[in-house]
Amino acid sequence: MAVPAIRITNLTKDFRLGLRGIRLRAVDNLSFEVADNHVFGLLGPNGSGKSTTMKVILGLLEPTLGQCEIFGLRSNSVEARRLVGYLPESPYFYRFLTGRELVDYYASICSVPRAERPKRVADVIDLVGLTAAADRRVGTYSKGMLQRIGLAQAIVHDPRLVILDEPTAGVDPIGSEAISELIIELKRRGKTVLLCSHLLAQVEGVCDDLAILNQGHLVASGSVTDLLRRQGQSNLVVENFPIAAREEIEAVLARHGAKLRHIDEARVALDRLFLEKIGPTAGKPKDPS
Amino acid sequence: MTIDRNSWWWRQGRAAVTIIATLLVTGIILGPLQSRAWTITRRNQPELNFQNLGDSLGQGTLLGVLGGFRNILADFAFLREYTYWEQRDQPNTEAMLNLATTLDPNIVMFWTDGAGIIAYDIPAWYKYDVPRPTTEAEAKAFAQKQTEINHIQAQYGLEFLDRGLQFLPNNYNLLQEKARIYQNRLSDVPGALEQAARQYLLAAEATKEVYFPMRQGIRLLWGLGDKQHQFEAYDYLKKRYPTIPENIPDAQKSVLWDTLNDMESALKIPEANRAHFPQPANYSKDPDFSPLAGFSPDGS
Amino acid sequence: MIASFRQVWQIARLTFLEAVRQRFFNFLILLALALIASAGYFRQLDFRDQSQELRFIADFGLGGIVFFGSILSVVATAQLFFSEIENRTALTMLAKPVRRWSFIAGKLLGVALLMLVFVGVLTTLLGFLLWHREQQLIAIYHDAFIKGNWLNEYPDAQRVRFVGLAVDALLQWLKFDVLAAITMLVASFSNTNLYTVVVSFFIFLICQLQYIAYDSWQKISFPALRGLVWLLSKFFPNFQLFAVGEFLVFPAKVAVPHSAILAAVGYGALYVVVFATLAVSSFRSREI
Repeated sequence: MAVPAIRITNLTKDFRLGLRGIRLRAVDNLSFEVADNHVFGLLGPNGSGKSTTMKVILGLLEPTLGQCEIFGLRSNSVEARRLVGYLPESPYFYRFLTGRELVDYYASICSVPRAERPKRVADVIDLVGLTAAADRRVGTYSKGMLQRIGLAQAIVHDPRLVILDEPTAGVDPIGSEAISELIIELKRRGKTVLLCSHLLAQVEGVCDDLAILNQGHLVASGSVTDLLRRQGQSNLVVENFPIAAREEIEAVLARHGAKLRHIDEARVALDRLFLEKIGPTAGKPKDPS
Repeated sequence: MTIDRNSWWWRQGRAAVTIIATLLVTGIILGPLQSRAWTITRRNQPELNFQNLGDSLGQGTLLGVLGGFRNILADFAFLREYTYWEQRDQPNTEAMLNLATTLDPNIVMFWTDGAGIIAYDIPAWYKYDVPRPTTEAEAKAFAQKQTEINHIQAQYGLEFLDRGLQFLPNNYNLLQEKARIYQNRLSDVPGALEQAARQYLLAAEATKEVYFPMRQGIRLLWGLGDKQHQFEAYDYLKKRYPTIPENIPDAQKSVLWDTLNDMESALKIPEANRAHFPQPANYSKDPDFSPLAGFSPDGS
Repeated sequence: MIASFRQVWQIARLTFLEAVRQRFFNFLILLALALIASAGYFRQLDFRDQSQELRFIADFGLGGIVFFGSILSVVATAQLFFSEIENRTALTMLAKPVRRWSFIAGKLLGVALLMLVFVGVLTTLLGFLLWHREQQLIAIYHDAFIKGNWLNEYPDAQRVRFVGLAVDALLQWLKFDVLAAITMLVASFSNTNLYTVVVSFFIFLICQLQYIAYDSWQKISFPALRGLVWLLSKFFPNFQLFAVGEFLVFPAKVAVPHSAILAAVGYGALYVVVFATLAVSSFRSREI
């Protein structure tokens, strides 16, 4: 059985507030696994313990109780961090460096061999679509470009696990779509991605599995398909639906023990409409499927 | 009572104890290194030597806090003193002089210039503080007061230089300055000229490469007029003469040779007891110049 | 291990590049340069003894280096550390396979490079000013300087010892590194930049005064007080050890021997290591 990318077992983390020692329990007895080569969404409202969990995974915090492993290694070990790439929320980078210098810097920090570095840097910059801007100072980058260069520095050392914290926060829908495609590409390349995001539509679109936290507890986890499936209900998409046929359809369904709940007009998602009108494929013939 | 080793207090306490213990052990281990370096550093900075803790906590705190920056502050104080001097502001002038010498007592110029200001310049300011005398009685009172001020300031100047000599023991410049004050500002005080002579000779002993103080000290001693002092002057010159180089014009060996001969004549030293030093190779006598001119054997 | 040292160097390099772009550094170095350069105009003062003029210039320069260097050392270290925390670039860095000691060592090395540049630039300017003025004085008082009569008239007069100036620059740089390491230790457990700067300056003052405790504890009769003062004398480094610039540039009658200088260098270097190690130890348990 393949070693999971992340295994969290009975994780509890308390923070001490003030001199009186009041404890804030940020994460309470959390356990879940992230399978290898999956895209995993970690969801929850503000203050749910997502950031704390992520920091424990990254080895930046020590758990009060429980443990965390990355591909079988303790998460606070240097060896584990070699396998991890991290894009922080609202990344801030050294403004005086160019994009290429920044990625090269982190590549050297991660011990990418000197001979391979130029090509590796060029490849990841190309992957995130910043080749044209690679030699501009990071201080001149837009929000979306910062996210993308951040992603480049996260993957330059070819990690097995990529952790993305709100990668599309503040990014326009086109940029957000580009990042979603990058996530899918990362999965295609055999990586595991842990995604924290408030954009539920995006999570739903790219994630294989997800976990939902609330007030430090795990309230739901599993594959996206399973979690979102409405038991006992199915959707039909019908073209040119004649209202007159409704009674016949209800009768057929009744004979099979099913019931028509309601009929809605099919709608395209707003972000899909936006991309159709403005995105890179705007103006091109639509795929009939 | 069980101790929660994961508690914040335990962890912070352990960290604090670790830091304290490490620094303490480091200080003990590095003690010999510090001792080696500090002994020499302190020797070159006598102002950092204190007899007891009480002394240290006053001046030492100021000096210590400023550290290597005190030299520049001393310079600023000395510059500031100039502006007060221009305004004839005695309290602030003296205050800045004291501050400059406290902060950096190694600068000879602070002591010599300061003593000069105290002994020469400040007394001269008196005339600006009082109306010009119009009668003979007023002029007499003014002169009397001026003399009193001269003497008081001269004493202050000497005390100022004595303080400097604590930090710069046996410094030729300070000793010579003391001699000048005795000679120029206290010449009407009994014993002052003798003191001047003695200070000149101390300066001459402090730095044998400088010859003016030696000549001046001998002349002043001789000029006191009594046989005891004149013999003392003669004995001193006779002892120093062989050490005077011939190739340094400033040493004026020719003049000293003449002086020695004149002294022996004036004191009627028997021929057998005279020094009989050979004439200097570059000897030249100025017929118009007599080494002991102005200092007759009887002191008049 | 080699990879760790490489990381240290990379972090140091970037820290240095970041530091020299900070307005505070540029402002401070310009101020220090102006102060030192202004010393060249004090020749208008009546220095009865011309050798004292060189001393005056040296005092200004060395004092400026000490004053501004001490400020820069503390503020730059605190600023460079907390900017990483506040901008969360520390998060990005420490999420990489970087050991916490590498991060701290890299930061400290970066500050050391910064202080090296600072001390080097200022010392070079001061050395040039002293050399230039000394050449002018030699031209004016040629006979006195060259033939030795100068010394006959003014025994305190001494020519500038430029090797001594360079040695003093090294000692000052070492002292600034100790101060930076102390600041890093405070920063490793402090929550704010301001607290770090204030506490570090306070410790700096104590280190300046440590010599009082060192010299005085044996003269105290009351045992408890004697023990406390002894502890203070051991607990903090003695910064007065490094205040020998004037004697290196203008050697006194009793010059500073090489053994004393080497002892001071060893003393400073070891304290840098000790404070850096304590900073690493403290930072290890810091939650980012």
